[in-house]
Amino acid sequence: MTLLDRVVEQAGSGATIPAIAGRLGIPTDLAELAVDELVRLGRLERPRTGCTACPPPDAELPVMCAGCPLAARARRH
Amino acid sequence: MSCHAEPGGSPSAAGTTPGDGPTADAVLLVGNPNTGKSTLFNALTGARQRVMNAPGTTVEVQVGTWRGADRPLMDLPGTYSLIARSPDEAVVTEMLGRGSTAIVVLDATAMSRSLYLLAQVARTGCRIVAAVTMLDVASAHGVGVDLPALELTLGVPVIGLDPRSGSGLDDLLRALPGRHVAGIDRTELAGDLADQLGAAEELFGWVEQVCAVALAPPRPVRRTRTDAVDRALLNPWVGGPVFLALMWALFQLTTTVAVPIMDLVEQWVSAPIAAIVETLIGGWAGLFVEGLLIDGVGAGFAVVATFVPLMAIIYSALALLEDSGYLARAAFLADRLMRVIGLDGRAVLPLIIGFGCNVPALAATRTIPNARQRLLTGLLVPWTSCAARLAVYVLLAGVFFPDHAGLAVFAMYVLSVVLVIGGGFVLRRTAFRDVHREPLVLVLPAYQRPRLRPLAVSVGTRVWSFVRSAGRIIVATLTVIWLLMALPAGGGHPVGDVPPTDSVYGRAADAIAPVFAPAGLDDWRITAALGSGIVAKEVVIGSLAQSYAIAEEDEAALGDQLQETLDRTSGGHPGAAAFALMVFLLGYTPCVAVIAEQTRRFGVRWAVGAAAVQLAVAWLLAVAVFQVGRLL
Repeated sequence: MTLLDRVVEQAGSGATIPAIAGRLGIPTDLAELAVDELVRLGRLERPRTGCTACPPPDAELPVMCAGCPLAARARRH
Repeated sequence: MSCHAEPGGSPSAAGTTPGDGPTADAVLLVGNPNTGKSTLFNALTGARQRVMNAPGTTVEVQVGTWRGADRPLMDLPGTYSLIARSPDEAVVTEMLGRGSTAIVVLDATAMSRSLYLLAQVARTGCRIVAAVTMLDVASAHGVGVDLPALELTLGVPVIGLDPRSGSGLDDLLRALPGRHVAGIDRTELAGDLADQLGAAEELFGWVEQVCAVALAPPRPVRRTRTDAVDRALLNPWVGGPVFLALMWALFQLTTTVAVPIMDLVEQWVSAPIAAIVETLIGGWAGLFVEGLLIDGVGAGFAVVATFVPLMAIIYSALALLEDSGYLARAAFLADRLMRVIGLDGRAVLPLIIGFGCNVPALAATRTIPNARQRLLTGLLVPWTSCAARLAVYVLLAGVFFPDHAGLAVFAMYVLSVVLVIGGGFVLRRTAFRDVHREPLVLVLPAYQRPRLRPLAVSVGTRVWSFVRSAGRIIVATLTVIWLLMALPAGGGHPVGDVPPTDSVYGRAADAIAPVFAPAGLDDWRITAALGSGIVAKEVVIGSLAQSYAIAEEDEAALGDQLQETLDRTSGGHPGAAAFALMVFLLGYTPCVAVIAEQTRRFGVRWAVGAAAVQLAVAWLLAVAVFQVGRLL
C-alpha cells in the first residue's frame, strides 16, 4: 500500500491532517502535501459547505457559487 | 512537459525571448510559497531586475540578472506542485518546460513538501541546484537537516544559505550549472489522472526514502483537542444524535427568536409605508394608484423587510457551523448515510447547501465527476427544504401548533431528508440503475473559534444580496398579483375595485382549489399563494396576506384568518390541514430560479418532468397526511 493510499484510508475514517500524520507516523507537512496532491488529483475533497456569503467581486468564484443569481448580482454591483 | 534547452546559449539581459518565456541560459528560481525565494532573488540580482507578465497571461514574473554569474534569473511564482491548479502554478510548469537550470529553494522547516516539488522539477529534465533556507528556524524547532547526506542522496549540489545575511550565495554561484537528480528520470508529467496519480505515488515513495536518510525521524504528532472531540462526534451513535440536536436547536432559534422580531419589523415597516403613500398622493391619485402602491408595491417591501431577520439568523447559524468546522463533520456523517442508499458521497455537499438555497446547491453538483450522478443529485436537490420555505413553516407552526412550533418545523426538515433518501432510493432502482458510486473522502478541518468580524461581514453581504435580488422578485411578483386581483374577471366592477372572488386572480385560483379538497385545502387564497410560490417561495406569505387584506376588511392577523379558513376547509381538523399544507409546500414544484437552473444543466425534459413528479408526489403526501391526521 502506497503512502497516498494510506492517507486516503485514514481520511476515509474521518481525520484531520495532523491526525493523519500522527496515525501514519509521518511529518505533518508531508501529510498536508499528500492531501493537497490527492485533492488536485480528485481522490480527496476539502470540505466547502454552506452557502453563507457571496465572494468579494474581485475574488475567484467558487465552483459551488457558479450559476447562483445572488453571486452573479453581487459581482455586478 | 520537458526541459528543451541546454546551457550555453547567448546571454540575455532580460532573460526572456520576446513572448516566448525564458532564454536557454536563464536560471529559474523555484520553490514553495514563503520559503525566502524572493529574498534570495533580490540578494542575487540587486537592483538589476524588472517585472514582466508571463507570456499569454497576467501572471507577474520577476526577471533580473544574477550578479557574478551574469546570467538571467527568473523568480517564478511559489507553488507546492507542478500539477497546476491555478494560473500561477500553470506558469511555473510552463516555464520549467523551457528552462535549463533551476535553483529549487527547500524550506528546512518543511522538507517533505520542498523535496516533492524538487522531485517534480527533476522530472522535467532540468539541472538542479538545491538551496536550503530557514535552517535557523528549523534548528530552533529541533529539526535537524543533514546537508551532506542530502547532497549524497540527491546527487545535486545542496547549499545551505540565508538570503537575508547573504551567507551561502557564493557557494550557490559555484554550484552552477547544477546536476540531474539521481534516481529520477525525465518524464512527461502530462497524462490522464491515473498516470498523474501513479507518478505522484512514485515521487512520494522517493520523498519518504530521502527523508529517512537526510532528516531526523519525525517527532510524534501530539493528539489535539480536535482529535479528542472527533472521536466522539464522528462516531455515528454519538455524532448522529448531536447532529439532530443541533439542527433542532437551530429550528427553535428560527421560531422562538425570529418570529417576534419578524412581527416587530412588519409593524415598523407596513404602517409607515402606508402613511407615507397616503400623505404624498392621498386624495388626488385615485383608489387604483393608492391600492397599487400600498397593497402591491408596499406590501412587497414589507414582506422583504420581515424576511431580513430570519435570513440573518439562518445565515449566521450556517456560518457559525461552517467556520467552527462542524459542518464538515456533518457532511462526513451524512456521507455514510448516502452510501447506504447508493448515492455518491459527494452528493452530501450540494444537498446540505440546498437547505440554504436550492440554486447554488444545483451549481455545487458540478463537484460530482459522474454525469449521471450529477443528474440524480440535481433532481433530488429541490426536496431539500430551502430557507425560503422556512418562513411559511414558522407561520403555520406558530398558528396551528403553538406549543410545539419548533418540533413541527423540525419535522419538516426530517421529512425533507426522508424525501431525499426515498427519492434517491427509488431513482437508483429505476431510471438510474446504471449509476456507479464514486468514493468520497473528506479531509476534516480542525475545529476553530468562529471569527466574529468576518462572520458579520459574511452574513451582512448575504442578507443584502437577498434583499437586492430576491427582494426584487418578491416585490414584482406581489405587485403583479395585486394587479391581477384588481382586474375584474367579468363585468360589473371597475378596475381597482373588485371583490377578490370576482377578480382574474380569484377566479383562476377558485377553479383550481377543488383539486386540494382531499388535502383539506379547498380555498382559493391558499391555491393562489401556492401558485405564486412557484415564482418564489418567499412570496407565499405575502400572497396570503394580500389576499386576506383585500378579501376581508377587518384587521385580524393573518394567522387568525388562516385558522378560520382551514377550520372551514378541513371540516374541523385545521391542524391536519395545516400540516398537509406544510408538507405540500415542502414537496411541490420548486421556484422558477431552480427550474431554470435545472433546465440549463440537465435539459428542459428533465426539469419539467421532475417538476411534474414533485407536484404529484406533494399532492399525494398532503392528501395522505390530511386523511390520516383527521383520524387522529
